[in-house]
Amino acid sequence: MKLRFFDILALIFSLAVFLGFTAFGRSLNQDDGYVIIEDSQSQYLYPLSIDQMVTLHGPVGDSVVEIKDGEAHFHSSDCADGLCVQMAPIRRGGDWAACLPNQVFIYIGGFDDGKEVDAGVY
Amino acid sequence: MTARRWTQVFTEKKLNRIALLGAFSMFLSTIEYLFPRPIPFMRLGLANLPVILSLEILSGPSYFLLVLLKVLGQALVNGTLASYVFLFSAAGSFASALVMWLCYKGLKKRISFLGISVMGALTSNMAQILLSITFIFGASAWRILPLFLGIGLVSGVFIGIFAQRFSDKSQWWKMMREEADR
Repeated sequence: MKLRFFDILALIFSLAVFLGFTAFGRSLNQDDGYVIIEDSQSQYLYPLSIDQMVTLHGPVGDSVVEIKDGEAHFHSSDCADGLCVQMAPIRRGGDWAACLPNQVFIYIGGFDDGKEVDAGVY
Repeated sequence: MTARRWTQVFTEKKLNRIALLGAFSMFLSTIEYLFPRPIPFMRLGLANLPVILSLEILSGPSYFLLVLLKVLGQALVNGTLASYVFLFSAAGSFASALVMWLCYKGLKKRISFLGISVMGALTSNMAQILLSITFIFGASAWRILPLFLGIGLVSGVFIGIFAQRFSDKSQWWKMMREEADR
């Protein structure tokens, strides 16, 4: 079997399209994380780039998750101790926060930004 | 078009050939079903093998009838006949079939099945991703496009090489070709 002229052209063209979209996809990925919100019934995905309030109904009442400036945190919750509201805002891959009485769990998924070190050593 | 003309386009001999290739396509869909798929309409494209080869022995209408059979067979095997996946798959298949047909007719001896297969894979993936961006997943589908294109390119190369070697070596296919000319 011999490669013919347009075979090579087709291969180069396909490869170029593939590489082009890979580069394009990477440029999209840069600052676009998302927060995964799990409540007693289901799992939801919200982009961190859009500021919004998400209200979830749990066994003890409503929990409100606020997404703002690329961070997410519990804005308010009907649980007795309110520990979840005191948890720090989450923003990097692997960060999480939870309201146990109301069975709501939020965490950041999918992207590792590599922009920050998580510890400094001297 | 009258009934008489249809029977002239699709003679019994031609229909037999289309049916045989369509059955091959369905069988290969079954084989392909064994491979795990992370995304519903991602495929290796094994079922395209008969379609690619058929460029050598089928005329335009017969070729596109075979593509229709392939899409239906694939949907039956995968159980996606009544879902949106079927529409995506049909759109991808027909777009890529058209491109492969144009490549084959337009470039004749200057392109082999390798190039045709690669172009077909590219077109099919582009068509399906563009549809899913427009109708279902939104802009985030751009991110899975490179994955699709990469897998499509690799599987397209292998299927193209296989098709070309098969077409070069198979005595049975040689016979099919000679019969088609008559």
